[in-house]
Amino acid sequence: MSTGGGVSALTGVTNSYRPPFDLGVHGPLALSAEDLKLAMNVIVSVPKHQKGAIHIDLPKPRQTDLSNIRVGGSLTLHFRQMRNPRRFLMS
Amino acid sequence: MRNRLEQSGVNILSDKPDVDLKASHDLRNLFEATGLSHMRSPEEAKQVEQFKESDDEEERSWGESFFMTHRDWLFLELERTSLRRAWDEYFENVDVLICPVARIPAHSHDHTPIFRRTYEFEGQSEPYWQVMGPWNAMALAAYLPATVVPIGKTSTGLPVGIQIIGPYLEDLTSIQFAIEHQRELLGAYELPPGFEC
Repeated sequence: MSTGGGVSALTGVTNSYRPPFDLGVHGPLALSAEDLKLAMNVIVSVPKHQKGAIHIDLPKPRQTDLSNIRVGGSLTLHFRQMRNPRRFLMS
Repeated sequence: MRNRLEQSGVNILSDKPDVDLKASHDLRNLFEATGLSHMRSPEEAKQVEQFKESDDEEERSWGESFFMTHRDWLFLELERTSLRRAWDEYFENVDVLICPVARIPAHSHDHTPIFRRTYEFEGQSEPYWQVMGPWNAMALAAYLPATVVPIGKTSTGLPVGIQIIGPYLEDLTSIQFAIEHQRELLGAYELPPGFEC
């Protein structure tokens, strides 16, 4: 899916006056994770017309040492009772 | 994968998020169908409208949600809010979640229109859309950052990735885990055969 220059999940704005994509994301591809971090910091920005009031300052990584990172691993997730959105729409 | 991580000192917790994987998949599809509807031409919209009468559940769902009302959208937002709260609670005690990206590894390109596209999976032909889900919907449906890194190859040499999901707005946490994972466990990027300089 096209990123559309959107950061709707972050601020609900785009890099132009176009309407935001609800599921718009920044999705850089890189050959290494280090490059990915660099690309992320470069492309995440607010539209020019909002820079006077809004700025993005993503939180720093919680941990930088692999042994200190609390990792949840899952191949299966339990199911909690949640209304099926499709069934909801059809009702 | 788990063994390799634990051998390198990673603390893997048994905590699981209180989320419904299938519901996340459905929610993502509903928002995607209607969220992109304004970009479709009138001709495409007419085509999608025919999906409402389809015998295929995925097509019918797409057709219905493409034309959903604003009221329906707002009710779905309530569902998403519930989902996001569950993830926020999970990430109070966990920094990142690792899980599959899709049910299949890398595969050859297929330019058949997506609702007609199929994939041979475990001896059966399944709709491509379903084969690609539902893992890729978990982060997207809840506005969470996700980073994908390679972890190995299939017996035929195709890359297999793992998805690292981080807390809301904490993209740099999932990326940092990818950096450390790559440094400790993977080594340098390896060019695929035929792409050497």
